[in-house]
Amino acid sequence: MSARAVRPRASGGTGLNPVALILLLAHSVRHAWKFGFSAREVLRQIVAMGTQSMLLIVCGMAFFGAVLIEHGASQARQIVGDISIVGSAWFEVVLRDLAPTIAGVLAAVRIGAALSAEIAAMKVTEQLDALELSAGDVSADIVFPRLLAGLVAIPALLIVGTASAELSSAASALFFYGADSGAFLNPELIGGDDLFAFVIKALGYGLAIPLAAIQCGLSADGGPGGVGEATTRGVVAASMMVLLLNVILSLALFFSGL
Amino acid sequence: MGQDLAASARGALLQPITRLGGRAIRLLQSIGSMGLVLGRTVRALPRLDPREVLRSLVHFGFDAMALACVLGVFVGFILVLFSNIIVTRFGLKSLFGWASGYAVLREMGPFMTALVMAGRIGARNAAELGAMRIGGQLEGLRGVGVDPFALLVAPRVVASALAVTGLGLVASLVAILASIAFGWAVSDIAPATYLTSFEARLYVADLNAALVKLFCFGATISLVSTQVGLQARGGAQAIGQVAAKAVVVSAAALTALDWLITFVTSRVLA
Repeated sequence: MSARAVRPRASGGTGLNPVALILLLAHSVRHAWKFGFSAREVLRQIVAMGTQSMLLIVCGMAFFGAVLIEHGASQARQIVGDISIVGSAWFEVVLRDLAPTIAGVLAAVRIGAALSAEIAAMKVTEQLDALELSAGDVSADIVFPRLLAGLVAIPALLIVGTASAELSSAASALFFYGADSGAFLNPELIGGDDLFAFVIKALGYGLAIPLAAIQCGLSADGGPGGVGEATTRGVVAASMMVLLLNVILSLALFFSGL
Repeated sequence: MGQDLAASARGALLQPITRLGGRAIRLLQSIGSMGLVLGRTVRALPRLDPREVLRSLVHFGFDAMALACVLGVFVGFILVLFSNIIVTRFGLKSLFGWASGYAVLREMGPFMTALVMAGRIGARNAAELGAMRIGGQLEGLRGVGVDPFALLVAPRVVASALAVTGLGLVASLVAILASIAFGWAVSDIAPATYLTSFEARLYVADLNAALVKLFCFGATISLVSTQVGLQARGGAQAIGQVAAKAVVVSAAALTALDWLITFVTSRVLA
């Protein structure tokens, strides 16, 4: 029984098929449980994901924080005049909704592209079949370590990215508008519910990004063209999964009163 | 012994500088080759094959229409969450329509579309050009006396820039409609209230800002992916690598460009 059983047909796999994703997850967890997995490989994947994404996420989120202040300032100018009074609500919005999702999309772009390209290349060059033939297990040796690594590395990246966006917001409010930058780092409106929302979203994205990317990589078919196609689908699926999870988790939190 | 130590110490000191310099040179090289792609595309504009442009437009643009619509719904939802906190904290229900419309047109619509389309259009363009390059098709065309750039590359550059712009407008429209619907359902704001402030406080300048951003993002995605795709060397692995690299470089360029354009449009052109 190989991972092939849960691979979708190449033509139909958009990577957004929830049934296929859940099957892939269940399959890899079951196989990792049964055959064991290498903790060293998990660590190596965490390091790889962290180092390859850190620069993009820190710089990208710093730019995004500065952009938000520009827009916030031009909007606030039309109503109140001083942007620092929106500061603490701003902090709440950025922490709870904007930063995790934008950083999540950036992480999806970086990690999704790398994972789906890597796995698709392994698939079309028959390295996965070779692994199965030499008594390895694709689900336990390849899929599971990457899922576990994503679950650790992506939330950590989101925390760093959120901090980067916040600090850059506060710095540009002070630097460009002379506003009280302390207001943008004022935690008075941040409650346990906001932190809970952040953690839930971060863990959700951490699971969904590698899952969607791996699914697309495994469904690669054909020659070199298939690798490109699978990479394209992997990036799109990973970033759309982040946005979809944002909707689902936010609605769930909203209707459960958090 | 002492000399070895001195040499290795000097090596350790020089290594980061060498690496930084190497990175800077590579960055300048890729900016230069993007400039070449842009220049050759502009030169090929008069003899652009309209059929090839249309084919690429269908391939990059029309085929991604469904994705743009779904993306629009998600973006609309993000805006409602965002505006909902501001509205409930400050009681500014009457400004909800303006706040979300402004955010869609000025930021979230163009930026999110560009990020996702960097994956969809950028990665695909890079992968296809990379496959042609590795398969020797570009050299083959040159061999029979056809300029591959004018025939194959330039139409893709033009089509993917136009496709991102068009898809971004569609996604923004859907995002506005979705934020009306979600605002009604989640924040209990009647569509009439939404549209009143939307109409009264938004100007053509806001739409222009969206268009400027979208076109610049589209051009960036197409130039980056073309440049990266044409650099492909090797086999199947290389195709995946150029597709991934195209997305990542585009995403990095987009975040920086987003800030730059926002800064210019909200300061200089305000």
